[in-house]
Amino acid sequence: MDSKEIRNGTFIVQVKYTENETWQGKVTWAEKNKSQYFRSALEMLKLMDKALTEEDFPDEEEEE
Amino acid sequence: MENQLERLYAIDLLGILVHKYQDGQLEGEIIHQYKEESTPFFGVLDLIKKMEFQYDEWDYPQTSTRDRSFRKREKYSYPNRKGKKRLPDEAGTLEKFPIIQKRGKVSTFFIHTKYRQNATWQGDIFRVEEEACFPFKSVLRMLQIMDREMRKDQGKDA
Repeated sequence: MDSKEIRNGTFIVQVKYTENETWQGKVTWAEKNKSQYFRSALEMLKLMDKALTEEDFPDEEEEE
Repeated sequence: MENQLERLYAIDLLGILVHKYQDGQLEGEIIHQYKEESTPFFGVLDLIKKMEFQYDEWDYPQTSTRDRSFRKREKYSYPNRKGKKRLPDEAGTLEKFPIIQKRGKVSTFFIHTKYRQNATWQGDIFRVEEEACFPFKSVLRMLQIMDREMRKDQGKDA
């Protein structure tokens, strides 16, 4: 998290619902072709942040 | 004048001292009553992450959802809390430092998060400059309130 390395990524956010005063939907990490559903804007941010800061992320590790 | 502020109390009260809010940049310090030192934050994401880190350290409010990951088969591992007490169990015995007198250069908020449900936070946010308290049902709403309140000072449209 304190890494000075510049990481970048492309995310596609689909907001499907807006309940509980927040967003629900799916976020897709374009470079890894991985997606995950989120239940809140906070969760969406955490997903994106973890994707950008995690050291090694396996590619194509599992089938959908 | 500070009646409402003086009555404000929660074991997990976090003070957000905003020193800069310009061009979308939010910077300042996070304070709480169990530590004299503050935690600086740089940006909204950093603020949220540090606040959540604190709630996780205290295990209060307890989160009702597990963190998700892009790794679909990631095995969830419960955080190791060996030797760590939950805040409600030790708040009574911890040394406390006064925080309600502290101020940010631009704005001061005190946040009482009551629950962590629906993968987000619910509680009240108190703005010192307005002596006003606003409930929030999500982090998104909490940030919108902070933004709206600080924009009032800057004379911008909400």
